Amino acid sequence: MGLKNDTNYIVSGLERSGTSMIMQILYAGGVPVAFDSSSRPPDKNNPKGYYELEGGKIINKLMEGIFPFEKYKGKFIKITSFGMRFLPKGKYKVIYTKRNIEEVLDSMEKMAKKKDDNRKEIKESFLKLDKLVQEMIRERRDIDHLFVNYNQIIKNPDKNIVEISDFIKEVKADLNKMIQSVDLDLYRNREMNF
Amino acid sequence: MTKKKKILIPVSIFRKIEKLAERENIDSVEEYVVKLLEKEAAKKKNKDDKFSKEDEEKVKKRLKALGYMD
Repeated sequence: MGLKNDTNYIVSGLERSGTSMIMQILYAGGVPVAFDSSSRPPDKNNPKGYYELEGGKIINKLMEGIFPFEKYKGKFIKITSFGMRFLPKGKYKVIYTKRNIEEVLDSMEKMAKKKDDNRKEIKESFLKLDKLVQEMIRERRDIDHLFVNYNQIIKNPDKNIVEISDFIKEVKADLNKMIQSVDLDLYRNREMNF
Repeated sequence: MTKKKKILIPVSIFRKIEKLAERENIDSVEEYVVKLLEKEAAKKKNKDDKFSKEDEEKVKKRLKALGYMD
């Protein structure tokens, strides 16, 4: 039993909203995931890795309509919110992660190593993007979806990861390993540091 | 019952609205004003909530800075 070969599986959400954590949870549970860590190896912003394809730079390919979806059927890949707007017609299962927007922006600032001088404006723009993509996911008939919340996963991994496991019931995932993969110390410390 | 608050408007505008309400067979000026305001507020909200070209440029700039885009 595995993921379906006629379906593209996607982990999405705003950048820095916990998409890597979801990929890591799936990977730990033995769920097929595709990523390439050579172009962006783990660093202090994502010590457990980014779980991305091409260092996350697949947005350009999506915009140009040249991303090879066929190649990644039956595996989870990560496409962040901005790229989701260019998703062609297909058959998808999407886990979309939401996170407190202030934490998302804090994390972006930390990664960019500089404070925002127009934080209010950039916050509005990312909130609009987040809302737009969530609406699109809800409305499209070719997308089966599950919304999860990063902050809730940290607070209560067991309950939230069961929901993820139920959503991908076509694959027999190791629930315990999925739950154990959430490094609560790492994420809770991270929350406290913001 | 919905709670209400008072708004003062110039009498001249009230008279104009009264005529418009009459024309549309709405007896109460208050009801007509509420309808107009609801319509305008919805329009404004839709415009404010829309992910505009300007928003797109701001997000793109940020994503490029973080290495998510070329």
